[in-house]
Amino acid sequence: MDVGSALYGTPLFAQSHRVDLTVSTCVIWGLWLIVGFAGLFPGIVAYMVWLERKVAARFQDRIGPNRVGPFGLLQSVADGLKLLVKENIVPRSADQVVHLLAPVLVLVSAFLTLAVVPFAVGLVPIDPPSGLVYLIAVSSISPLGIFLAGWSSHNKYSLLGAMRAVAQLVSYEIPQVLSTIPVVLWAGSLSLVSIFDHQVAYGWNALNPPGFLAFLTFLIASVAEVNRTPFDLPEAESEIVAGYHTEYSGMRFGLFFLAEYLGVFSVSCVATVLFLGGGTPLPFSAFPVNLLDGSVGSYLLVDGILLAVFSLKVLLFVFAMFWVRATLPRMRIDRLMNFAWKYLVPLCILNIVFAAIWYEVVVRPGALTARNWAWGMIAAGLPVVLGVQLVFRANRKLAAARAVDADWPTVGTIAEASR
Amino acid sequence: MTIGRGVIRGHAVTLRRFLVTFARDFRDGLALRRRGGGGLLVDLFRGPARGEERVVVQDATTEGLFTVEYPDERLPVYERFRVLPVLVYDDEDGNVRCTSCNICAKVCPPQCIWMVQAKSPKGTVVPLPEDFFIDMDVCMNCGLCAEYCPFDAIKMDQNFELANSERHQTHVFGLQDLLVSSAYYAQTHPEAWSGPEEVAERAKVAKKKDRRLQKALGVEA
Repeated sequence: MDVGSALYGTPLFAQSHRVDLTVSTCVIWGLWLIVGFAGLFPGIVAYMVWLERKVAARFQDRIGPNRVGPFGLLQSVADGLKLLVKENIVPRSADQVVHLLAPVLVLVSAFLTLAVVPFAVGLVPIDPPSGLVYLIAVSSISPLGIFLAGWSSHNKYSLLGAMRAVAQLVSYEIPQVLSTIPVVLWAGSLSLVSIFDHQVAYGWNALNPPGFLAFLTFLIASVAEVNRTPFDLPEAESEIVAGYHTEYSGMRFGLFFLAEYLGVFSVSCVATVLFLGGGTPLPFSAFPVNLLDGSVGSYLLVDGILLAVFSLKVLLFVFAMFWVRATLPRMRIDRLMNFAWKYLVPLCILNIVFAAIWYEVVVRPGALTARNWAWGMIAAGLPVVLGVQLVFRANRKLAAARAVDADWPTVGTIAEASR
Repeated sequence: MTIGRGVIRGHAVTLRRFLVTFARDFRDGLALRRRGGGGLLVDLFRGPARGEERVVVQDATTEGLFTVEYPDERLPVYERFRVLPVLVYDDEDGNVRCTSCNICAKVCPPQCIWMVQAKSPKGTVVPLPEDFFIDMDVCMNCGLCAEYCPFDAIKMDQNFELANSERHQTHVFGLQDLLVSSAYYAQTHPEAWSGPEEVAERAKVAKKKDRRLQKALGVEA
């Protein structure tokens, strides 16, 4: 039997991204690799670090870096040079190969995530029909890298951090993935470009009740996925030195650092594309996209607008993460797990049903009309509010265990309250 | 809905802090300038010249705590602030006030002061220091020497920028390192210098000192 014809028509094959490997494709991919992945994205990360230090300083009534260059703008260059020049110490008892491989894996995972993000019309490295599945797949490489880092270091703090990281990342991956299901449901596609197109036609996903709930859960789960405060238990410096990268120094530590901020950047990009309509400046209008008339000039104009708005939205997310970091203390590990499994996962599962209501009322009739939209807001909004109340009430009252000998205010169970 | 109200309120508090810093910088006209630095938007590596730094006052009226960018900005130095002792000489006649009486050396808790008594060619004692040493590494800035000095010769200085790249030769201050003019002292300690009691005391001490000096030189002559 012919293998090719046997495979032909299977769902897997039908989903594969068919690209003609012509010279122009190779040139475009080469450009993405060199300009984007080797040049622009690390540069963005470097300046995100600078921005975080400046913003955190403002939050704490300080000034932040201002010695190297005007406004401290060359600080990231100095930091990069420092990391490159520093000695690279590998513990003698460490597993040498794995110790080297781990930061590379984490970094690769962060880079691969960016490969399917549509920054503007036509400005997407690759557009596989199952882009979201790809995204989830590559983003779950990073727990592996982190675990390898902790394991190979042969250090109890590293291992503790790695264990925490794996528990946390695996737990929060589930709400993160579940909260994207409404988006997939409405767009009818896993391709991020189709999801963007759907939002051009139907308004931003975050602007309807189930979409907003999904947006919030996605944000919270994403903050946990990139190990940032209040979910930075894997590298909690006050408890376990530096967690999984305790034994890393020099540029190997730099790679972890780069990967963390790259993760923040890519998560912000993905959130923008999935929930805030990519680079569209107005929520319910196809504004810059409808200017496209096939000419090069219109392309440049539209992509310019889209890119500018896209960067603004990404900056907004990045700022939100800095803001949360400046406000909240680190969570306790049991509460972290409780929050993922008892709050976020049930909410996400309920939300899929609410998203289906929205789909039936608003998306299925065809074009977006004000009447359908108003009906959808009522029909899906009410269940969302009730669902959130239900999950929180259930967790706080019904399922709350009585604390023994508590000297802090505790929540009584309903059974106790009615007694 | 009370879910998450505390979290939201907490974020509002920090955001307010964040925005207030911009308002403050704007009000001070420092939004685009490096605080304490030059007036240009881009003032690459140039700071203000020594002595022209902005003096930042942090008192009860200061809103929030903020960093003093030390080499470019300074906190005000108050009169009673003290670091190392110095020897004062009078501007009018150029006389060193110290009589080399050794009281400061005896009273110094870490024993970091020692001196050489001046001698006339005949070998008699002259009330002047031949040389005077303070080991600034050992000095603990207590100010007892200045308290005990009967001739108001040793005083506490305010210069705290004493960093050095060599400590074996330069950290033992000799007479030439320690001498400062009375004009300098009057500038750093205006109140102590111009108080009426201080003026009277100064005149008395100067007379006493002068008598002793005349006597010593008279014996010599």
